[in-house]
Amino acid sequence: MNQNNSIQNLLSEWGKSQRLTRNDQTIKNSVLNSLPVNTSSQPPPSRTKKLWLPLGAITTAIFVIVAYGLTMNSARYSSHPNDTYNYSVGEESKNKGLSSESRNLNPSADKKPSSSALEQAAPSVESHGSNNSDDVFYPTPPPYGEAEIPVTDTRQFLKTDYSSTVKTRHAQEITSRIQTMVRGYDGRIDSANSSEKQGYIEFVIPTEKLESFRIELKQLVDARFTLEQTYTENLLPQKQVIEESMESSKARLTELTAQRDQLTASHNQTVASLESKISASNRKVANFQAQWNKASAEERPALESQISQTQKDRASLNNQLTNENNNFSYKLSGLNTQIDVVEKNIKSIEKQDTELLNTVATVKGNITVTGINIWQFIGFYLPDYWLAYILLIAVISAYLIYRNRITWEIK
Amino acid sequence: MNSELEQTLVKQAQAGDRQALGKLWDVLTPKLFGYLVNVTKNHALSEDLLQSTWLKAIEALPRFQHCNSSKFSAWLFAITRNECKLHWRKTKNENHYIEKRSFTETDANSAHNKTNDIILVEQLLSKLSEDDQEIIRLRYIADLSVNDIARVLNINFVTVRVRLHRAINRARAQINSNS
Repeated sequence: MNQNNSIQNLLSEWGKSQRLTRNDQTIKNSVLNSLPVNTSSQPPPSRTKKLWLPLGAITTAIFVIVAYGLTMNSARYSSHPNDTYNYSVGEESKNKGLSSESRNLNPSADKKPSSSALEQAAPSVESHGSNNSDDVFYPTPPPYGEAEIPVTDTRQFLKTDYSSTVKTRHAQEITSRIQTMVRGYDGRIDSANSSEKQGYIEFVIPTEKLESFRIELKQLVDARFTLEQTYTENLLPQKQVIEESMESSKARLTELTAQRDQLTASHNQTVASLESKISASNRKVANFQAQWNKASAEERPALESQISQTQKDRASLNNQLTNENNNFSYKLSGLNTQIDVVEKNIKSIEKQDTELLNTVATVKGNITVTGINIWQFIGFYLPDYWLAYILLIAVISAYLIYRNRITWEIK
Repeated sequence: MNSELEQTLVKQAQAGDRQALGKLWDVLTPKLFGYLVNVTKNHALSEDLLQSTWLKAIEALPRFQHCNSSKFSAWLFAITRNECKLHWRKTKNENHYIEKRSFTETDANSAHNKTNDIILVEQLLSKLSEDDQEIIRLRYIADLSVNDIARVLNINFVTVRVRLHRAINRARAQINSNS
């Protein structure tokens, strides 16, 4: 305690010794003369005059927040580009039903969960990214076949459609770079247009290069600025229809060919029989005429009667032969026509098969590039309320600091 | 000078009474000048800062509102500190304010007329941090209360009390180590 008092006393003595009395009156006089002589005390200035700065700051902050909110709402009208959706139709969804994730994202599945047809054939939607259902984009489900697909057939003929929305501050440049990317992946650009504010590209690339393309696209623009939708459909029903058509057409062709062969054989047999009979009739007539030349006058009328009868029989055989030939030609022509139709049908089916395989081997895609303003840009990094909080804290801090200065009047 | 007398003099000065202002000058200037000399180690500069402090105070005097938590002397020292900062900012020598000044042989020679205790205290203070020195200056040269120091430094009065206590402990430790 004594030591504490001694150090306190020591410091007090030191403090007093440091206080220096100035005998020079020059400074004192100049300072005192600077005091204005007033008869009445000047009232302190109104505090409200000093509040213009924080009030102005608050007004500006409110204006900025409202403007920002309006801008963000208009931006949110479109889907939030931080998500990736895969939309698939095919064997998996048809055989196993919709996954829980798919049911959450597919309103039609929620409405009619008990529909067996829907469970078997409804498209499934896979999402990557946000689980916020408000931001989910629902792609239009494609038409799907109603044919029952056997479970044992597990083949996949996946048709993939790719769609992406990219938000950027440099729409024109990004559009140009995406076109270069598509060409780099051995793709084909079907249509493209770009301006300073937006761009659009339709393209086709090989299926096996889609993943690499998506990765490069995400490197081009930050993932939070892109919305991807991948629509995958198993074309197995179409493939099966093609296979069934091909099979029935080939069977029909075989059947028609067999009918034609049978017809030709039957015709040949009939013609040979008729021609044989006609030859026999000819020989018979010749024999009767030889007998008629050697016969007496009494025998000739009987022979003439037989000759006449035989000639009638021969004429009848000739008519039968003509009819047979005509019928054969008609039937053969009909069969040939049917065979031509079936062959054309087979070629058409083969063409459809080739097109299906080409569709499976390629991805048709489109990318929409949208320009964004600075507030939307900030919105991707900061949630709305954070910006409001930051502005509010800044305004309150400015007000408190300024109020402190007003209290002390230190300038 | 008690608070009521100070308040009366300030009101009179606000009304234009130069005599009242002269009394405030007589009471507060030794503390102000001693504080400035201790901070700047320069008499001429201290006189300039003293004059500018008073001129600023007189200019802002009509707006000063005396209350229990706001004493004129504390307000004046706040202006003084700001003037010092302003000066060092203008001369781009702000670091000088926080620079720890060591006690030199010259200081010792110039203080031949000081008592041994005072020399000892100056030696001790020179080894403390600038924050500790500033609190001790305001407490013992300016003779400000803990609350007034808190207002001048714009920190909590509990913090001032703790810092002052620690500064004195450090000074005591210096004495013990020297002895």
